Amino acid sequence: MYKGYLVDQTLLDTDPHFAMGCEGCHKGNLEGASREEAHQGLVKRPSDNLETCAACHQTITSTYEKALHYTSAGQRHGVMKRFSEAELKQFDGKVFEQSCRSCHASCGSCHVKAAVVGGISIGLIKGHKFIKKDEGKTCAFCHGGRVYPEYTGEYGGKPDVHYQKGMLCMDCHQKSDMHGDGNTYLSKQDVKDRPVCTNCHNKLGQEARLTTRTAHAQHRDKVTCYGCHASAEYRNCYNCHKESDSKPGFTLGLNPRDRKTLTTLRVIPTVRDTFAAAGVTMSHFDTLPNYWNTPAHNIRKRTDRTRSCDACHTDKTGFLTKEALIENGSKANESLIYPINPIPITE
Amino acid sequence: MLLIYLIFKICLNHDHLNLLRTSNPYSEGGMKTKISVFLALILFPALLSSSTVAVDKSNCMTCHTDDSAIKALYKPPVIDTHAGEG
Repeated sequence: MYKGYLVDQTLLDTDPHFAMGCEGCHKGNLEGASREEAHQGLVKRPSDNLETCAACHQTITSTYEKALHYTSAGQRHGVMKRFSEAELKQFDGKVFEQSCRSCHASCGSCHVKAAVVGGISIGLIKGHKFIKKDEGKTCAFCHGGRVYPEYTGEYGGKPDVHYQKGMLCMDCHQKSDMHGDGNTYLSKQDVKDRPVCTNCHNKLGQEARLTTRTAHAQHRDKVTCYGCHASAEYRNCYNCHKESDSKPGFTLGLNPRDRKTLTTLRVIPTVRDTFAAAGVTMSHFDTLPNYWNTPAHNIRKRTDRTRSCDACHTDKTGFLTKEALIENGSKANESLIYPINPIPITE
Repeated sequence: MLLIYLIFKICLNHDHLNLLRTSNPYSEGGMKTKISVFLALILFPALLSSSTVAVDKSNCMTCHTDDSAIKALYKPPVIDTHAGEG
C-alpha cells in the first residue's frame, strides 16, 4: 500500500498542476527534515476546500458545491423523517458532520487519490496524475460494498450484462450527475436526467419476439425493469454502526416511494438504535421502512422471471412476505408486501 | 533556444570575443572572452534542463519519488471495521 504515496516524477515536468509545487496545495513544512516535521501543517485533501481547484476550474466547482457527492445531503434526507425536530437538530450537530459528511467526495477523491473507506485506501490512483476517470479505483472504492461488486460479478452472481459489454459507471452516469448541474438536491431521486434504462432501450413495442413484446406491454408502469431483469441476489445490510452484518438476498415488493410499482428492494442498515450512541433516538422510526427500492446492478437479458411467468405468478419467488420481514423492523415494512396473484385463466 | 543562439552570435561576431574562432583562448579578448564563454557554459545546461512547468525541488519529492524511502516511512492504517460502505 505504500506505493499509493509514490509520486510519478515524470509528471513534474509535464503536468501544469505541479507548477505551484507540492506546498501550493498541500502546505506542510518545506524545511522539515523528518517525516513528522515535513508534515506539520499538511493538508491531506486540499480539494476538500473547493477554492483550491476553483482557481482554474471555477465552472465545475461552482456546480459541484451543490452536488450530492459533495454535500452528502442524500444521507441526511434519507433518514430525517425518522426524527422529531429536536432529534434532527441533535443529529445534525452530533452525527451528520462527523460521520455522514466525512464520506463526501472532494475533487481529488475521483481525480487524484482513491477515497479512504474503512481506514483503507489504495492511495494515489496513478502516481498523482490528475485523471479524468478510473471507475474501478474511484467509484468502486466508495460503492464497493454493494453496487460495484454486483456489477462486476465479484459478489457471486453473474456480472451485469452491461459490464460484460465493456460499459463502466460513466457510460450511464453522466459527468453532470457527478459534478452537479447547479441545482441543490436533497436526494438522488430528485436529480434531473438520472440514468434510466429507456435512455438506450427506447424501442418498447418494437421487440422482435412476441413474448417479449407482450411481457413488456403487460408489465409496463407496474413493474420496474429491475423487477424482472435483476439476475441474482444482491447484498443487503443490517445493523449499521453496531455489529454490521450483510447477507445476500433478493426481494421483490412495492416501491416505498410510490407504493404501487413492483421492484427490487434492499434492506438498508438503519435500525432503531443506530444513532443511540450519539444520544439520538428516532421517535418516528416507523415512518420509513427498512426496505428501499434499489437499482440492482446485476442486469441480465434473461433471468428466472423473464423465462417463466410462473416464477412470480405461481412460485412467488423472492416476494416480500410478512414471515420474511426483518425482526424488530419498521412498521412501515408491511405496506411494501405485494399480493401477487396467479394469472387469470381465460377461455 | 533563442537565447543560446544570441550568445553564439555575439561570440562569433565580435572580434574581441573570438574564443570560438581561435585555438588560443588567451590570444585576444582577454577577460571579456572568458566571461562570455563562462556564461555560455553556465546557461547551456541550465536552459537544456528547463521544462514547461516549474519543477518541485522541495523535500517532499525527495521521499515521495523514492520507492525505498516511502516503503520505510509508510505506516499501515488502523482498520476501522465499522466504517460504512455504499
